Amino acid sequence: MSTTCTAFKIADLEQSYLNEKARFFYNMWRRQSKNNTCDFQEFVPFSPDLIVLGKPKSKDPMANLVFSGEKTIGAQLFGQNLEKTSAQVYAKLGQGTLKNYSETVSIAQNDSFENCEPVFDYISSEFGDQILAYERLLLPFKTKAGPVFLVGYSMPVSVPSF
Amino acid sequence: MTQYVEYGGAIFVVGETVDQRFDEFQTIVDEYGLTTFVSFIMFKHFAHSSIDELNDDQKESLIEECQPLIREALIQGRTM
Repeated sequence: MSTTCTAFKIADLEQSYLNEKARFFYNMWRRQSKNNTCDFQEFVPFSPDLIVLGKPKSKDPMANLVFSGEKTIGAQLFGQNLEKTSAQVYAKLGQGTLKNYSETVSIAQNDSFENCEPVFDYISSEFGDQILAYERLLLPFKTKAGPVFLVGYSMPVSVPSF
Repeated sequence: MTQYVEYGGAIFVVGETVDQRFDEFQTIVDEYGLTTFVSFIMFKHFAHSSIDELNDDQKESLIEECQPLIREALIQGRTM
């Protein structure tokens, strides 16, 4: 089992007509970031499509997930309260599988977190004989007291059924 | 000064009544600038994003649902 992560340039997202929703989120983030108000309330109506991550913890899968919207890939695969059910996910997939996945996807998370820059990439992972593949947009939100959270939006390409 | 205690990885907001605990909770949310993410959680669990519309049970529930968010903000805040 292996997971790969292919980075795209943000410019690819801006010019793309395929990822309309991701482009919409990116442009909203860029507008709010320029204002430097630390107020991202415009994202609230779209929160069912989003996840929120804290500081990446590559050796502790899912430990940095603080919110999972009910229309995300994670919710589709593992239920609507994914942030509370990591133990069930471990049991379903096996901790080794998740560890490999988590280590790979957290590299770009870490870059986004440390540099406070958005990330747009493509993730592909084998789970047994099934493939999980999606494009991912990560947007860093720096709060007024300093903590940074990553808001993630994923566009499914291939979603397995466990 | 915000009143909360951490025990067993969980955050407990201190206060004798729901309103006192909720006031303390809101103080933490304001201090750390977490309003947007709290709105995400309210939108998910209560289908609206206005704190003024919450009843007492929903207030307690919101404090509970925001545990991972608050814990993460406190951990990051400590290392700054």
